Amino acid sequence: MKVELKHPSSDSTQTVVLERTADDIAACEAMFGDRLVPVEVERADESSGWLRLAGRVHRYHVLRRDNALHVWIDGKNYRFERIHSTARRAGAAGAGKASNQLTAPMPGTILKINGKPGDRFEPHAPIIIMESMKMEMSLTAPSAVVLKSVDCKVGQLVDMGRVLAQVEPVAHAE
Amino acid sequence: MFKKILIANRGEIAVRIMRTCQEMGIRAVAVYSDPDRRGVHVGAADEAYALDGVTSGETYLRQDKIIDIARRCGADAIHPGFGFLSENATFAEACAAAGITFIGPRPDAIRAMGDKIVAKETLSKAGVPIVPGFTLEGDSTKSGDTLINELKTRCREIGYPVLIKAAAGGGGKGMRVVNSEAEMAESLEAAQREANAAFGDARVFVEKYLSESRHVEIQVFGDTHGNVVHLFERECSIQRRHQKIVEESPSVALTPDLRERMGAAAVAAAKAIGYVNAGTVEFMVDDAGSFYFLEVNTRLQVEHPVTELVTRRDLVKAQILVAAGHPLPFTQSELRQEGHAMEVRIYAEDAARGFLPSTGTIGVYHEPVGPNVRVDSGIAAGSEVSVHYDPMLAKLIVWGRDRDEAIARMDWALRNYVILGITTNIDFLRAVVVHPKHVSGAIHTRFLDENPIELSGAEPPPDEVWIAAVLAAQTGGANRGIAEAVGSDAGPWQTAGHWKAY
Repeated sequence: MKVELKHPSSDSTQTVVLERTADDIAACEAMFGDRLVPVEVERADESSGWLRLAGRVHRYHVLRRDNALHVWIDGKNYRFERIHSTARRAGAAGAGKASNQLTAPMPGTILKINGKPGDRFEPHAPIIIMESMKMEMSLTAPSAVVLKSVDCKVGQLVDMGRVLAQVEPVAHAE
Repeated sequence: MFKKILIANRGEIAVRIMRTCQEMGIRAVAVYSDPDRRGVHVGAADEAYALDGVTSGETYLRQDKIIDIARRCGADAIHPGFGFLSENATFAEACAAAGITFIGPRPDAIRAMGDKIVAKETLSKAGVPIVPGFTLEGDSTKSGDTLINELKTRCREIGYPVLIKAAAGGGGKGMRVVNSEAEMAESLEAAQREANAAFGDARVFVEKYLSESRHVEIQVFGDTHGNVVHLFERECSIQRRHQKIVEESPSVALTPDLRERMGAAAVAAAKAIGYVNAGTVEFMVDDAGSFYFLEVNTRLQVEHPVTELVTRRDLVKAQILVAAGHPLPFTQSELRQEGHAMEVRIYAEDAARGFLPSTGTIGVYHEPVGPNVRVDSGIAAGSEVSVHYDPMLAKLIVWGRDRDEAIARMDWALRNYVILGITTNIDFLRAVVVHPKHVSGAIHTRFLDENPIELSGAEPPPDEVWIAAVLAAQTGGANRGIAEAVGSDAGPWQTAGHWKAY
């Protein structure tokens, strides 16, 4: 996952890419520009856990409120702002009304894809089932839609924000 | 003994009082305002009744509503906590008239000590040393040249700086330090305006301002059988704008002899006014070890847990017993001051932005837990911190064998207190507690003015912090309050739980 972050109190910004290197849930790599930092992320639950970095353990608690990111780590509090790139902003803006994309809201593994392009889904029917942090969740059709394309495979590890499928509301498809 | 006590308060103090009621087998009754419907103190109670309203004036200050609820639910006593109606003599009288016991001192004692001018005169007569100062002749509520000139003449006698204080004062309101004659007119007006707004009483008086002095107070307790004891001191010198933020016992400034003399003076003060129940006699102590009476607080204090930890006594339990007519559950010779206790007040405020109050919903909340760590709190994950009430969220109190151990434990506890979603003063408090001058005990009431606290954050954070921020970005915002999550509009692709398509 690639995130552009701003730390307002020090007026610094960084683009950080955090990706898992294997199916092992803990092992990750963080990229700060060209600099690569190996890190292990152990999640206790969605908002807390600990990091192992350069031989040291750092406990963390996090909270997101829209683009405001609250971080508690090693007894200190930090506040970040998430800066959205143009592409993401365009995607997010479309989400309110006419987005035809299904994207992963969190990193996870694709468990099941219920159909192939051309298939029709009734409202609330699950299209893609994902698993993350031992929780299984469905991405469902909010209204009658036709699946236009599938952009992921079963068993694939996907990052947050990754486009998984293209759909089209039935009214527009016909 | 009482069967049911109504707690006419909210937040952490209501929760703390209920705990003792329940331990004593007494049913605890909560009252709550509209914004507090889901408040922690409501859930902690055995019964809870709505006050119907939003502001303090519509709810926790409404004597009629509170007494009516107490009558209808069959409460035989009311505990006012601190703030709100705790030092309101009229309320104490109204309780008595309704046949309900007010857990606190008698109305005449509240009234006498509530007027700081009367209190100073009364205690001076009882032989308690008072801060040099004067009350203004005639009507001190008016300004004007004559008054200013009289003030200037008399301040020249006692020497600058001086402190203008509200007769009905408390909580730092209506209080102004005047460093020179040039500041007099403006400060007088400001103090009167503030006093009038806060207490509806613009009367002020003047005291010599002891700039490098310490604020040390003595906990006193009287019963209806004529017994009066003291439970030693609390040092509350670390203040910000006359508001205490760190309190401890014992005080490093007190020798056994000084402690003895101050305790005796406080007991003499309490006896002079026939004081019953818990009270606090506040003193200033200067470098030379001289002490001067400031005021009497006729209520349970915010910082009472400090005394509870060093004496191993439950002050709320003693309050209830005394109010029920029992003798004090301890004698002076039984009381010991053991080890060292320290308290900090957790506020919803942003130290990096001029201590502006911070409001919002608490998303992540974890209290520190460990030996000799106590948290008196009135918040939980999902709690709304609104603009309507005091920004004090909780008190963190630790006990150690000695002061160094207490400071180290407080540092640990502050490092392990997690509150995300609103800005708190936790990082600021930690910087204060571990400040070398605080650790050395070189503290006085101007400590924070003379030792600016450096807050971290100006430097770009290390790698692990940025990585944690990415993990924050990955969360679904599922830690919002329930109402907020249900009400959020996630667009047409909303699915179960925190999964949604963009």
